[in-house]
Amino acid sequence: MSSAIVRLAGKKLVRNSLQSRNLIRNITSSAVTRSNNDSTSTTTTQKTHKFSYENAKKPISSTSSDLFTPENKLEFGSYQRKSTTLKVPDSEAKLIPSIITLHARLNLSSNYEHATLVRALTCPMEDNTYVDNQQMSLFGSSLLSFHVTEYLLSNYPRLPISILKNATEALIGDYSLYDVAKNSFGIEEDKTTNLEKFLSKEPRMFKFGKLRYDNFTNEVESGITKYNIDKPTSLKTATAYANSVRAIIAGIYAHDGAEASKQFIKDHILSRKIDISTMFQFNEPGKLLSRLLKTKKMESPVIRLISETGRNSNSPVFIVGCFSGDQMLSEGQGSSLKEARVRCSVNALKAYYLYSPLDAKLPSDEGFNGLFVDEGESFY
Amino acid sequence: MAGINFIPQVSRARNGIGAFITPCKKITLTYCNFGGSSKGMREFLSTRLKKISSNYPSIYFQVLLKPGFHPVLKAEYNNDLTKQICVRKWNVDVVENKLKLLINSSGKNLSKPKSLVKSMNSSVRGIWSPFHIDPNHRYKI
Amino acid sequence: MQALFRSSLRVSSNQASKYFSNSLSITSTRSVVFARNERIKGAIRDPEVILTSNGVRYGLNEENIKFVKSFLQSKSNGKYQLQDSLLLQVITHKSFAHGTQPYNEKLAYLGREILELIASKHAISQETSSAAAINNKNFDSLGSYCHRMITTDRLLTDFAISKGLSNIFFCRVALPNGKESPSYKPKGIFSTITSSLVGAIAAQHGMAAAEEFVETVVFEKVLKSVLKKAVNVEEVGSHK
Repeated sequence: MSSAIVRLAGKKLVRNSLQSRNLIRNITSSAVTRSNNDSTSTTTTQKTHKFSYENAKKPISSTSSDLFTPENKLEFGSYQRKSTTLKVPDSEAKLIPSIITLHARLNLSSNYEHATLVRALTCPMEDNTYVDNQQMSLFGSSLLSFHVTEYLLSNYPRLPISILKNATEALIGDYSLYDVAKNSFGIEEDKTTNLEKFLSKEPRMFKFGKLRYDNFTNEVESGITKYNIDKPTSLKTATAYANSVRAIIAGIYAHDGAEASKQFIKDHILSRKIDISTMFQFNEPGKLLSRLLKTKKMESPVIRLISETGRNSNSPVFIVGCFSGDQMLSEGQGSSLKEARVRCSVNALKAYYLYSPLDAKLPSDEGFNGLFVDEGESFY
Repeated sequence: MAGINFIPQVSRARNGIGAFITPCKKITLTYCNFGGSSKGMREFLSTRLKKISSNYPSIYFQVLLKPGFHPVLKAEYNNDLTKQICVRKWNVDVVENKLKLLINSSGKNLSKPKSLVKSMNSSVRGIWSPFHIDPNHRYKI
Repeated sequence: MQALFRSSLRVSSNQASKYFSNSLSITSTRSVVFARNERIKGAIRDPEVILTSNGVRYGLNEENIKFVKSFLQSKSNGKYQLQDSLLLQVITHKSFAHGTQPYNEKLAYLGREILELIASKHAISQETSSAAAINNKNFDSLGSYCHRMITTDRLLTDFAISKGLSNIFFCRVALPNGKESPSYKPKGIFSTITSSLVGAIAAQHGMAAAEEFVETVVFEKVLKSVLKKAVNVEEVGSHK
């Protein structure tokens, strides 16, 4: 009803400017909130973080009317979602080929029910009455971020907190987990319409073997001005895929326990390649290095030329070293003295921040005996 | 810390480190009940498919009847690519070999490797440098 | 300039005597001047001022860490005891002394991850009869108001204050008008005491000990306040 009005308005306004687009978006959002207020559900503004793995852990506000809360608020076992009541039984889930193969390719134990996999692939949708993965993915994301944080903190104790968060994001952010779900696990999304399903005579249950979610699209196709009003449940593709991975991990915790979920995270997530040394971007490396050495009560850095060739040619090479007293901290090379000096300072900083103890044990490991605790870096 | 910015990154898969997941996820086998070109395929389906499919529980084998067409093996991979092999007139052994070829394939398009070693990691040994030896022993122009 | 020096600046180093005995013979050698009271542009703050928080001088001694140490000793026969240097790090916020002293940011970061995980584990491991439960683990309460409240800064701050952990806490709290007040305890800063204590226990004794500490010591108090706050919210909601 309101969408039709907006679409008409959009058709006229969209050609004008970016500002008018924002206007339309405001109109749509106000329309959405108005309709929500009618159905007595509260919409609260949620804090959005910089990193997607932090956003995955944020509270669920839309379920306040959907959630049955017991008299005693701390009886967490008695909480119940009102809208999602149906459940695909395990016996039927075992007949879906994509669920059977997914179970096998993830090497899940026999305790892991196929129905849990079906649930993990069902994102919250409008008019969906089957159990969904919303809370499972919430648990999975806190499980993931704990294991990744302890891994990074034990192996790289001196990483600045921003780089630490960035590395966590690189491992368990939406885009990384999207890659895990799609290109490693081979999860497919359900794109076919009901008519297409009917025509292809696909069994009814087969749709539960695919990732199902309300797609978040605000693309404007050329020639067609199309504005989708965002539903409260709509997700971006990467987030939907990532949530399915998080939910699968929560399912492992529920069925097989903490140790199995830790091993799964180690095998499938921590085994992936990230290059932390290329995450740094130093604004003034020389200044940072001299401050660092000052707080560590070391002598201030001196850059000395070690070797050079072809100073007057068009391709000279300079090798310089960074010294603090008698100790050489790092070495840098460049085609000018300045370049070599900057590279040298960067190398010294990276050598400090990327310190990694040998055979670091994680706090959740057996036989753990203390962690190297960093002092934190000074700032001005 | 002030002065240190971060550059976003996305982790890359290293299949086989930690866990190995078969890149092939679905194989469709089509056959015809009457055509002579499907003879080997029909024999394969009735005698050998059951054993092979039970060896690969992570792959979805779909058998389709396509009357009047040559038999085809079509494999779908995790990276959204498909590979198809037509097995017309081939006997049952060749069909099995072609199926195993598809199962063991990574799903990537075939390409000529430009270097012998392909790695995400930088060299452990480092690059040889002429500047780190005694100047007396350096090569003089 | 002279008046300024005498009133609010303390001149350290060897040149001090030269300045005051004979003001005309100021040598051109560089001297370090520390500002004591109000900020003066270009002058370096006196380290004594910087290293003092609420009248307590920073340093690794028994007096400074006594509150945290006695608190840990009173729990489980001192099972969770930590090194003195780590305890001092726990009660030092990064705002203190420009971050030049070991501070608790990373411990707090680890501790918060642990707290969030254990709060979720606590919620799903309750007894349930829900049909949607997976292997008797009911996920439905996750993300709800009460579940999220367990790990809020406010309750973690309340915990630290009630156990006396914040009696000596090295931080620099600046109000928006630039003044400092000992009664102003911003929850974002003071909650790091609790979370970094959990992180430090995990870093020294492992995750199992940290889990036990959180469930027996931290949640004992925090869950009670969740209950209290949840009732208040309900009352407020019903008035509307």
